[in-house]
Amino acid sequence: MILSIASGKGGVGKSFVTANLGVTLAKAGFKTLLVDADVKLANLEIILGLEGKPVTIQHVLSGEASIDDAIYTGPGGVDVMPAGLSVENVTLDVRVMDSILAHVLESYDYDYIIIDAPAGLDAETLVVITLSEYLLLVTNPELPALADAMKTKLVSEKIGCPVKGVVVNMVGKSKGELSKQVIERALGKVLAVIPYDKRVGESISKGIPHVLYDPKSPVTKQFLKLAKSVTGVDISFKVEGESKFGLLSRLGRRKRDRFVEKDYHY
Amino acid sequence: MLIPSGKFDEHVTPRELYEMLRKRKIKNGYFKVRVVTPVGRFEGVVVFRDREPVLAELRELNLEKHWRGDEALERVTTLLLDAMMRSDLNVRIEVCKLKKSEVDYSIKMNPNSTIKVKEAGLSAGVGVREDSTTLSRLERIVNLLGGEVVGRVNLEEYVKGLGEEFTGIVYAKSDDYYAEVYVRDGVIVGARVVEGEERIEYKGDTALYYLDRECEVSVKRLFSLRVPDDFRVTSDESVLDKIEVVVDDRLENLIEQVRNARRNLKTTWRKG
Repeated sequence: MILSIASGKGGVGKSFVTANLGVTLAKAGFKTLLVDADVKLANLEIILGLEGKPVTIQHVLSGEASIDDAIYTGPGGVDVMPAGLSVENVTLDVRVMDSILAHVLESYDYDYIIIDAPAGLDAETLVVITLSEYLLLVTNPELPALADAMKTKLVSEKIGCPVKGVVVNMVGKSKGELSKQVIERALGKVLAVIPYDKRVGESISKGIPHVLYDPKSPVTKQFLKLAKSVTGVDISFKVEGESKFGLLSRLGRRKRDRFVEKDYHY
Repeated sequence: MLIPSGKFDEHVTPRELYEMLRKRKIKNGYFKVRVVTPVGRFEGVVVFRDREPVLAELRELNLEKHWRGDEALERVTTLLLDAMMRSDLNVRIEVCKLKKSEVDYSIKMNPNSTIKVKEAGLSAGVGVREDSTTLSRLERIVNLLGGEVVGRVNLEEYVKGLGEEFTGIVYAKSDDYYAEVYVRDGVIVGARVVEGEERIEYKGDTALYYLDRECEVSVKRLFSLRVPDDFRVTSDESVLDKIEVVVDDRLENLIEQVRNARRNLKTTWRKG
């Protein structure tokens, strides 16, 4: 299945969702490839801790390297085709991208190819949507993000790529958020709700996908739920040891997070 | 309320107090309950004479609010019901014995706290039999505290199916999950969810994202519903009317281009 992850608005967490969904699927035993199609503002490789790879999709698109050389095995066993952090004047051509995906499908037998689409609704985004079987929309519970996601949904439907569902990211970050009912009416079924969690920033800065960084967190639970929605089967993966936090650290976090309860005890 | 301190009998849990009331164990005496909720700190006292409640008073300690008599009794039972259904409230209940003469003296000293019981007031609770007029005051309290256990269901689906006639609070609980959903005429008007081993709290519109859970659900029907400010749901679907989704000419052209290109793509076979 070729699944693209798009949003319309930038900064809502597309790459974060792409990386963690991909790792979750791979850890669950599905052969998964992540393709960073955001060639101008790539950051999927940062989230996965794979930055600085010598061959990227940019080299493939410009004909300087073969497709096979641009595929790397990342955390959790997920395969990744990074876009590279250098800003080159490379654009996504629908026929070239089609050739890349066709080669990958024939040569590697992937269960899932997940494409991280660029923000906005330019030609590059439309190329990604065109080549995908389904679209997964990522939004924040805010009006500007919702408006852009609605536009992306409309364009996707015009192209003929159905929206599989919606991931609402960074829920609980601010007051006055849009409700789930509003988002479902506008975009369709919400498959996962990723709560705002400061530890997400920690995992990104350390280059460890959050589902591996904190395997028992509410964020990880939502990725397991999302993976179940995508695959249709219950997903779980064995936690290798405890989460990154030791006992003392956990106690510290409990103390830190107790602010939410302090009003109810005296 | 001016009452003798009496003879301390025991500390009990809300569930134990419910059982004591159900079995009419408090003959002459009182129970004092202290509950800390998201909306304040409460201290309530209910005095019994010959196993029937005769005096009640409730104080909100932060704001120095007072309720007396029937209203206090109704609010105390509501607090006890909350305390029984929720695991996150700080509750302390003590039961003390009084002599009958001390109870009579207390009634004289606290005329404003006398319970008269308005039938409609207490019968507003769930589980009150139709013939509530034939019930004693205590039976009405016990019935009110009993609530209505729905069982293990998907909370979101259950609330969606409540219908326009329902007004009240839906409580839900599982291992590391607690929720309360305030519903007026079938519409969610407030919500609070506490989830995870770190007990992260979500309120209002944000809490609505976390109702899709299988859990033990109980409901409490109410005539009137008071929603704590923090828990209010404010998001309205009418916000969507403000959004105009338009595909301009540039975008239409791009869509047409990719549609045309798609006919000759190698990967399109996957789309059937």
